Amino acid sequence: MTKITTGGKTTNWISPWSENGKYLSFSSNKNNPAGMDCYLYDVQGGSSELFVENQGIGLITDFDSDNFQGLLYRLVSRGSNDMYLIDKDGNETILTQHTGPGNIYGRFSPTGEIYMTSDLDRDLIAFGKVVDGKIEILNERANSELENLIINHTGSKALLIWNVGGKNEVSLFDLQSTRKCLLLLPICLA
Amino acid sequence: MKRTLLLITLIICTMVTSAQDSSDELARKIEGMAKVGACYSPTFSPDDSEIIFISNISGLPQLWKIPVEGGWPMQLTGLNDPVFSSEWSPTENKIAFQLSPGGWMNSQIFMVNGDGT
Repeated sequence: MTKITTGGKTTNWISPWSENGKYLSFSSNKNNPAGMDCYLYDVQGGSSELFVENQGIGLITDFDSDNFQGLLYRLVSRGSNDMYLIDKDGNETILTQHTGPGNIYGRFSPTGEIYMTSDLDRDLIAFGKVVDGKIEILNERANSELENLIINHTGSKALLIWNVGGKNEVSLFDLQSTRKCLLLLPICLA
Repeated sequence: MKRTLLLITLIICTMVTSAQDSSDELARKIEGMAKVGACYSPTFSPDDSEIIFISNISGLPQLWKIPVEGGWPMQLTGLNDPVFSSEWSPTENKIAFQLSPGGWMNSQIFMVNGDGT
């Protein structure tokens, strides 16, 4: 087991790898007591470099090494955040414009799309895709909230984790056919 | 007089038993709440055939692995501190995860092989 962060009284949050496996992104307050800056850890070189500074909570939710750009989750207020697309020159493009509170979290697909979990203009967090600056909902549940999503390496499937009455259910969503199936865990989670 | 004493004793016994039942019920509810399972932070393996995730199904949140078709999950870590998040390298059999000795504010990042070693 290899430790890759500096330790001490620092807080470090893991973020995704780049698709080429060269970088692991993470957030840390090691140089900024006022916020969680985002870093890229070079796996071969064993060193990390600053990617984006944040005055507050910031998290890279995905990193595209081909275009050297990341999806940045930046907390605005308690229970509300914005998502940005950032590049290596520090340019930031806000992806979702909203005036009210919103919980938004995004992932790149290998095929270039951006998928998100979002509760913008709705009560419960659902699964959607960014189309022309708006989130098109692909999968939602009447009484359950989406807690997490991940896209597989070919961009064909999304793994969705739902909160069903306080317990988790895991489902696979086929992004081509929009077919859904429940991934049954053999252990009762209740 | 004897009958009155017997009646009072019976009432006290009933009250004690009732309080004990209530306490047992509370303990049962608290135990049940602590056992509510959770799984989160999933990632696909490099060949998309397996998924790792964090779950508290063994008590403390640890790293687990399951085939994408479902099946019995395999526990990859058995550490003394909770694992909060994990990411499997898209190209190598390496898993990075966030371990929180002493709590969330002291989270550090570690790397292990795909079999947990």
